[in-house]
Amino acid sequence: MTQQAEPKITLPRDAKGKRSVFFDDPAIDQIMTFILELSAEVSVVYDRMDTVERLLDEKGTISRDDIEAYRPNEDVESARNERREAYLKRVFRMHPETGPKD
Amino acid sequence: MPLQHEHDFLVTGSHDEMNRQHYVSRLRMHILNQIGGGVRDVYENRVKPAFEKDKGRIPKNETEIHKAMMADHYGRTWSTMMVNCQDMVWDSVRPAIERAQPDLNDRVRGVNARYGSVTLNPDIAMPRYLEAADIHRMPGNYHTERAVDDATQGALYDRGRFVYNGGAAGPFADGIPRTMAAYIKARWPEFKPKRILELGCTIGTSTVPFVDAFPDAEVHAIDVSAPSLRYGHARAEALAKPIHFHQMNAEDLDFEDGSFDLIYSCIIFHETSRKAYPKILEECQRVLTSGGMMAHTELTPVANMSDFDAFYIDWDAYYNNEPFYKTYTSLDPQEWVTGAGFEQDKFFQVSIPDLDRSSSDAFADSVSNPTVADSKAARVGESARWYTYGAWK
Ligand SMILES: C[S@@+](CC[C@H](N)C(=O)[O-])C[C@H]1O[C@@H](n2cnc3c(N)ncnc32)[C@H](O)[C@@H]1O
Repeated sequence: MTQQAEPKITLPRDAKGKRSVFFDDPAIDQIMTFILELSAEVSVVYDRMDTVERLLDEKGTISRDDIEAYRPNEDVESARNERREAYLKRVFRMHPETGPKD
Repeated sequence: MPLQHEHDFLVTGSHDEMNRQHYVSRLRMHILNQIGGGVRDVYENRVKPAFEKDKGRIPKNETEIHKAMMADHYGRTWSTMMVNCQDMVWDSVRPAIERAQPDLNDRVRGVNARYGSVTLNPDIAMPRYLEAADIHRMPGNYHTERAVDDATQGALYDRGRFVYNGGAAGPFADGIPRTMAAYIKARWPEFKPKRILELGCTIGTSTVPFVDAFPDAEVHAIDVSAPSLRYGHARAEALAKPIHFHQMNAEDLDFEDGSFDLIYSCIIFHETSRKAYPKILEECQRVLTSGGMMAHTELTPVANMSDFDAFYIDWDAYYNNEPFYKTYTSLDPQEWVTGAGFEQDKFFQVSIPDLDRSSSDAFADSVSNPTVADSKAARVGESARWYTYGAWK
């Protein structure tokens, strides 16, 4: 069998169809994208630190490969989920409603 | 929340990518529950009173509520978060899948069919409703092919959907079909289907539970989307599940009259069209054996919903690329089922409590006392009950 080099596959980042803008100034929608993406990066950095700390607790010294290879078990994952939920509640909290109540 | 079961073809990601995916799952739940949970209060306490003050009456229908809510900053913030998060779901999986290719396609192509089969039809025409827009904003939808024998979209769906659900459907992402299969067995224990057909199986996550529930049956599954079927077949073989996948259009099945005892689907009609929906029901009627049954789990009809609930649920129709969603939920399934040739008294509908997320008492109760009274307005994943309807032939 002759092996042909297959072309690289790339996926588009954007979906086909309309992307709605909700605010009168579309810059606000744009900024929301930046903020939400940033929030994910902060969480990812936190998890990486958590991995480093757990591995250090366990082994005293670690390599980059140890970090990359680390996969949380269900217990660690649920501890991380608790931390993520608390973080979400702190960061994405809506202002108290100030509108007329009655 | 469970971790996803890692079969041989699942693409997850690096250390950081997986943590990003898990974060996006939690973010989505936060937006649904914490932010989305406030939408009703905002309507009742601010938007409705303001509307009343301005117009001297309350909003008279869903459309007016929609307009008023989308003019409010809370409605806008909630909405832009929903859309962003939807895009983040797929984007959290994308790089890992790009890296896994083209090796993944090679491995899928090389699968040894030991248990089941996959039969593709390269001449099939893609329905317009699948080509017009990417449903759930998943780039490429279920069907786009980016290479020869491509399975990319299947891999994207498998991991992305798990992220989207936050694992709420279990490690195999099969909460709905597992609930349906258990329900059919519990309510009709004497029913022993020999041939089973699933419509719109995508990657077969919804097919596997029926193989498990009816081990003596021959199980077939169809979908129009080839990349999903290729991937689904590889997945089924990796899980050692005998499933025969076929690329077919549910509106026009290649099966003979009276060739299946049980035909079912999980959440497919609202992604089709007003024209396709009755055609698919007619095909069910034709392909079922007499004494056979069809069962479909779908969105709850909005008929008995308040205008506010209808607005809340129909949000996806406007902003999540679900063009038929709104029309579909406004239809009365019984009318369409009988319209397709099933007899009135052979129709059934029931709201089934999710196996994993309800008590066994609640499940048993829905068997002995089937009702739709508990159906609530909820988008897929928000409720722990599944509205299911169908008919005997
Ligand atoms: C929401 S997905 C189904 C999800 C799947 N049943 C599950 O539970 O994982 C809808 C599927 O229906 C398929 N589909 C839509 N219209 C169809 C048609 N007319 N014939 C066959 N498949 C169709 C799409 O390709 C897509 O894979």
